[in-house]
Amino acid sequence: MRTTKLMLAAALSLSLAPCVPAAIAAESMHDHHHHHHHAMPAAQDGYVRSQAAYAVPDVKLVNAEGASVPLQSALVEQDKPVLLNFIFTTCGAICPVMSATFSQVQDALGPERDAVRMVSISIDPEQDTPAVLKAYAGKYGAGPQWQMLTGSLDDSIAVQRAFDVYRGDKMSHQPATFLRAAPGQPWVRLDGFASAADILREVGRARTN
Amino acid sequence: MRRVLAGLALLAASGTLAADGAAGASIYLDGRLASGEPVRATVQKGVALSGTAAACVNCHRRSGLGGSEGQNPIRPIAGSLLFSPSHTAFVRRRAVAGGGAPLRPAYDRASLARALREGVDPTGRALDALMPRYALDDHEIDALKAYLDGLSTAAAPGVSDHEIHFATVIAPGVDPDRRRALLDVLQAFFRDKNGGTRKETRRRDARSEQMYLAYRTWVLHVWELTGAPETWRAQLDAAYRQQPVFAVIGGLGRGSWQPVHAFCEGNAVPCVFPDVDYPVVEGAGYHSLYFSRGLALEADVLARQLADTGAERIVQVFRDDATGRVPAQALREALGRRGVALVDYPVSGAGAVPAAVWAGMLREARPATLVAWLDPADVQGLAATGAPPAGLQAVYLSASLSAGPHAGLPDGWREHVRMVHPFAPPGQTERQLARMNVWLRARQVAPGDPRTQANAYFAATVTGDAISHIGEYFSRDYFIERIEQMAETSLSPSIYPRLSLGPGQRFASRGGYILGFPQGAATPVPVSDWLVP
Repeated sequence: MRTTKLMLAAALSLSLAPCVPAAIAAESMHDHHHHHHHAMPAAQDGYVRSQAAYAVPDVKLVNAEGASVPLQSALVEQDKPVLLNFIFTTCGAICPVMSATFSQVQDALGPERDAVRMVSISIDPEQDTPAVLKAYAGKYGAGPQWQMLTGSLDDSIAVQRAFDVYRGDKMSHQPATFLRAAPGQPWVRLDGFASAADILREVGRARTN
Repeated sequence: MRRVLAGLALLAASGTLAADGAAGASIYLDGRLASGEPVRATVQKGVALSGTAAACVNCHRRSGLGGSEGQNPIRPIAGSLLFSPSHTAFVRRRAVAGGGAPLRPAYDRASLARALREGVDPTGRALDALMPRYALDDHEIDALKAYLDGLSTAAAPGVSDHEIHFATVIAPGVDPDRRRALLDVLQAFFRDKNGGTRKETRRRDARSEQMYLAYRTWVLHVWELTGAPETWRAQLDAAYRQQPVFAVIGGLGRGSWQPVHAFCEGNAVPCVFPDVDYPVVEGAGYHSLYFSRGLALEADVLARQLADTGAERIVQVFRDDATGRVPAQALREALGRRGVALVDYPVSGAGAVPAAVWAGMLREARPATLVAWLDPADVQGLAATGAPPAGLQAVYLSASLSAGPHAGLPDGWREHVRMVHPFAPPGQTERQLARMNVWLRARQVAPGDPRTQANAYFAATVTGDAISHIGEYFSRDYFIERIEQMAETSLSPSIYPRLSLGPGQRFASRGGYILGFPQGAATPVPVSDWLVP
């Protein structure tokens, strides 16, 4: 359903393309967007919380060290709470905020950070090679509990589809953070910009349950 | 000219303004204050950003003309737009000369400070959640304002009131059929463009709707280089002085593209997708956009294949000249990083590599895996040595250097042959190009070399789409930013499985297949996944 709607939006913007410069279109279409997407967070919260069971695809991704990582073991069988987001390293606006947020969560957890697992999956995997991800992880001070994953484009898309964050191309992506308390539990989905405090509250909830 | 001189005098007279601009540039581009300290900012609910992560350029880009990411609008903040009222698109379209209540009034120094520190626009509305709140003092805000004032104000070279000029570059030694194929496609595209906008030029001159102000007649200049590569830069500079162009579309060259690359970077001319095998891959520039890293990419793809398959006794044969050493060096380094041994066998001398040289190499080096960075005429000499020796398991050839998937080797050799193929697999390419071929037929363009035609068509189409998007904002930075954003979703067919750029990305395709001829198949098929090194 959502896919249909987005394709329609894409077709609309294509038909406008020859006459409206993007900068201008962006400004005047701002409010228009908010009406159309039910998943957009209410402005005062910054995000919308929901829960869902996602079927994690049986793919092998690659970490920043170049090692193969079965996604099942990283996300499903992992017995600690798992935090997940989707990023790409050349992303200008959304990802730096999401990565800075993860970084802040990690710092706030301090020595407790080893009690959780954090995973960032690249949605631009051919550009984001392990070496590129390693540099990016360094920039945000990612500790050993925070893995950055890349892989084939097809596998990255399969994972994005599974978590309903695939929007056709990387420049159309939207911010979302996921948390799974324990194996077999549903995923908590935070659409929009959840702050470090919001995420820490979810982590606290997951660890006391 | 007089205007330029007057401008320079003005700049010299106001030293502080220039100093402010430089301090503003460092805040905008690098997230660094004049003190050397990083810029600090917080996004909603205390998410802290600093330094490069807080730099304006991340979102608003070099042009300052903004765009969008996901559902988040990135507002234009170039001074000419920020410090004037913003109207709805409807008012803008209808009332070229102004009129109607603005969406927001013009920013001034005080409201800019408020927007940066508190995230509120001049109407009192909160800015988008992504816009950070900045800790900047009054001086720093003045410096930033001075920089914004200068953003995207320079008149773009190659654009007059009625025309927009482009060039394409053809280096010496290019096959005449490929030259013809490039020019046929570009000329047909330009005819189409101008034929389709004939009415718009009348509308533009009537000045009834702002959108028509953007229309220009497209003019193509063909810059054919001659002589030694050392002289190309001067030839290009001279042609550019005579007729500045907004951008260079496509291009063809057999050897190093370095002089053309240097011209594009040196004159800040966007050079959009030339069809070349030897682009500049080290310290890639800003203004040069390429389909791929060419032969350097092939070498990296091959290194991955050789490492993955545990290839042994690898020997690479290459011509010992500037272009021949490019893939050879790339393969040597890539295999070195993987700890795989490689023996070099450089060949020299004019003409095709003779059978005697091949026979000598096979005898001395006894390769199990042979890599030949050579063209089809050279490889014919290998077949002329007789049947493949017993220990030889695979012969890897470059699809780019072999002019297509048919290496032209006789049976007996053919089943040993693997092609490094940084394109969509044969068969798939024909399907992908079907729509382009319909377009070409409808314009009486004769079928030519598919790679050349497809690459020229893609370069022209992407340029056309980006020009449509930038409207009357003829900023080269904005033009490049549009291509970065749009390449991935372009509907234009190509010979690559997928072309995609992003902020700062300069090579649109990043992998390759290994093709083989199983069971004597006439057409090669992939024997590997899409390998991304």
